[in-house]
Amino acid sequence: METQDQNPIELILSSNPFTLDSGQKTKLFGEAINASFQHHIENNELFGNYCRNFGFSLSENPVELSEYPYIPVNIFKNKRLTSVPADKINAILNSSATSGVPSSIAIDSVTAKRQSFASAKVMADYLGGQRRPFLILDEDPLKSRSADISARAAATRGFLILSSKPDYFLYSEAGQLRLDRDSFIKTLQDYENENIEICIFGFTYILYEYVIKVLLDSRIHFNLANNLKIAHIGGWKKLESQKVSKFQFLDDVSKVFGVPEDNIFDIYGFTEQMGLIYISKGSFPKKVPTYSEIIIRDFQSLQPVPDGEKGLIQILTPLPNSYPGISVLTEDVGRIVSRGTDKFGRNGTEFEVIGRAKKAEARGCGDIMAEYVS
Amino acid sequence: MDNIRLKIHSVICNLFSVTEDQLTDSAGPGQLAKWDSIGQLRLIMDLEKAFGIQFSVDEVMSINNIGDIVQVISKSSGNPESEESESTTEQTKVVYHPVRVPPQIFWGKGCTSALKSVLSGRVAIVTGSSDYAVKIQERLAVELTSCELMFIKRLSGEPEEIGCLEISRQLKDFAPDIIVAIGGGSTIDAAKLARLIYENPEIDLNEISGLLESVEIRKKTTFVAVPTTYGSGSEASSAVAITKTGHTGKTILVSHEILPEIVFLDPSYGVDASDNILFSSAIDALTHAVEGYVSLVRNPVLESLAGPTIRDILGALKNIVSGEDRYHSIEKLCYSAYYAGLIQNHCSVGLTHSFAHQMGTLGLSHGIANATFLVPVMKYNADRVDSYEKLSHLCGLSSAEELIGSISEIVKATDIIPDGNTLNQILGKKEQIIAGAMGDITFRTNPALLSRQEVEIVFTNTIHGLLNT
Repeated sequence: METQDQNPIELILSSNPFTLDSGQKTKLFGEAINASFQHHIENNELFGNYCRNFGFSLSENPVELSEYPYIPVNIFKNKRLTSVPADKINAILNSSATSGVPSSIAIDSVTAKRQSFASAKVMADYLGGQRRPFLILDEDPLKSRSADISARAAATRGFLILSSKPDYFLYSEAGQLRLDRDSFIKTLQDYENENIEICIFGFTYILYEYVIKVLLDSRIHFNLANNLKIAHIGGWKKLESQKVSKFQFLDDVSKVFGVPEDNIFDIYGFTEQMGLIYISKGSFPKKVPTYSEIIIRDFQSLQPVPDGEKGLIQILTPLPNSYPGISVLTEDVGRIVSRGTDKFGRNGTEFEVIGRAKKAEARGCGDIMAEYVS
Repeated sequence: MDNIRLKIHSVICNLFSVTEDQLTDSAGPGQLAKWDSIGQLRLIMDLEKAFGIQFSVDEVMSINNIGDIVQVISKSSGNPESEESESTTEQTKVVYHPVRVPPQIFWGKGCTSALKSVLSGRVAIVTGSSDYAVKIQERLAVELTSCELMFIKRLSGEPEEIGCLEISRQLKDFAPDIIVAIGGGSTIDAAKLARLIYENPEIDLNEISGLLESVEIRKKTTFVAVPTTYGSGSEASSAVAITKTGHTGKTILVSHEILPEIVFLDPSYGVDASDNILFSSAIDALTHAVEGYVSLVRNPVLESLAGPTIRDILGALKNIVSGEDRYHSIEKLCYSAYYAGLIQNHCSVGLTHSFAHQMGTLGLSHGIANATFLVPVMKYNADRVDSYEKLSHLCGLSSAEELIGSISEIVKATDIIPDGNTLNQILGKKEQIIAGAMGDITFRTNPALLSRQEVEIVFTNTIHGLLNT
């Protein structure tokens, strides 16, 4: 039988995403992060040196999360850091990047399994534990078996575990991606008449530009309040550059599909911590699951700021085994909104992503999709 | 090879272009080259099509090899549509199970006289072997003239495997339509287990523990529970706690078909009970209500019962200790034990029970074992979680400290804590008890997640604290 001597990393990563109270999480997460730092310090020389230069020395007991070192997300563009032998690496994840330098993340089977578990558990908590048909606004990622995987394909593939019947509605034509509009409309009309739950999954810009706008223009709408949930991922930059605010997006999506805004999930995550997703329902803030924790740091001093204040988002997680992406300072700006149990019964820190830090590279899978299709 | 396994192998061979001889239950992604993450997704879809089923997200994630697939599909094919479901409604985010209560409950002083209205045919009556139990049997022999009766006496002490096997042998010879268990929790548990074995003679007790899926227990018999102590709540429980031969701790077996179909809550048995039995049984019930409320398993439907139940038990015990209003206090204990049993059955319990389950071989009754550990466990847990604070408010008290203080006071007043010799014997088995407690199924649902070091601290605080008073 399992006992408390179980590996602390596996213990927290096998928990449900939102049921631990803050005391339980603090204890379990602290032990897991400490163990994770030990693993990566011992197995990646650069990371070990980095931590020492940071003034950090590992102790047996966890310390305050803010005392652990963090690495800037850009480091993954310059170096492929690994903490396991080369023969354990099964795949390389490449992020999208507009500046020509993608991040490159080495994945072993332990990390891949943890990634699937974490993203599926969080998504299932919002969608429901039953698998359901997915209408996917992308090409079929199962067609590629390359060990080099784009982050976009990896993200889609990660969610397929929730899908009982994936249907794809984008196809390539002359190097451009196109929407199979008639098929998409017919599929939705068929589901409107059936009483089964379905999910539309896709990239934020693609969903809006190639589905919502088209349907709005054609005055086609559906009544899917009882059975449709929409999950979109990929960032708001492109939409905002076209003066489409998040509120307008929610309003239009809600109108077209006949669903309440609470059925629309915005998924935030990034390649360097693939597997960790943060979901907002409608206009509610995002929730940090059991598998990670967030710190907001002042832009200048990089010290943690009080809850409510804006700063750079840092995320700690014990999830990655094959690369030291366990404490990453992103280039995203955010703030912590609250802590504790929300009105939906989920425990954890709530936060908002406000935007990208100035002078940071443009990042985001959805924005890259926009480049291909515009 | 069974059909399910054959079919699974056929799907895998077709999909991954492998041959039958490469397939064992432990074969999985590491052994079959095409079984990578993409391969697994394809495999899931092909299996669903082949078997006409749909896996849940949790089931998909639980699959690491062919053996796991066999298990998931067997469960899916063998059982009717699963009653448990995972909900992500706005109000609850935890896995929840339907509330299950015995379908028929008779209550009130003397309600067991209605036994004759529910019993017919061949009736096996299981009781303890005390003089009191013998008197119950004699009375029923006179009253139940329209039934063909067999009386079975259980040996005293906590339920053990040998005793249950003996009862099941007698049931097999008699082939009853109805089994009536009249007695304390040990008797009811022993009769429940005997029924399980009688209904499923092929079962090997050494091979089973925890949740017994696909085990039918209501094929031949109906089970009637008549608790005479208040109590273990066994009348409301889907579980039996049994000490297996060669083991020192208790094994918990759970099946929703173990829940009795008919229950008689008759306070008149408590009137005849000694104070010692009343107190130890009541503290068992108290522990169920406390630990059930604060456990990691939430049940918003039943949680509200915890406050009034704890208040009633504490009030009743106070009265009995001071010699006031004895009958009505016993009546309160009778019904409170049932409610506490309901809470415990749906919410599990925690570290107090984890320790108590290791006490059987030391001759401590379950109630006394709970009384020994309850307050120290509450104190330790309450420093780490806020659910005791909430519980105290439900009990009409102002703080966790006040709740713990009230319970501590009553436990002392009942004077049932073991003597110094027994405490030293417990101390002498420290390593074994701690290991057993941490391996107990109830340890997983203790509200505070404790390391081995912390469990040891609770244990030594408890025993040394009692030795020094």
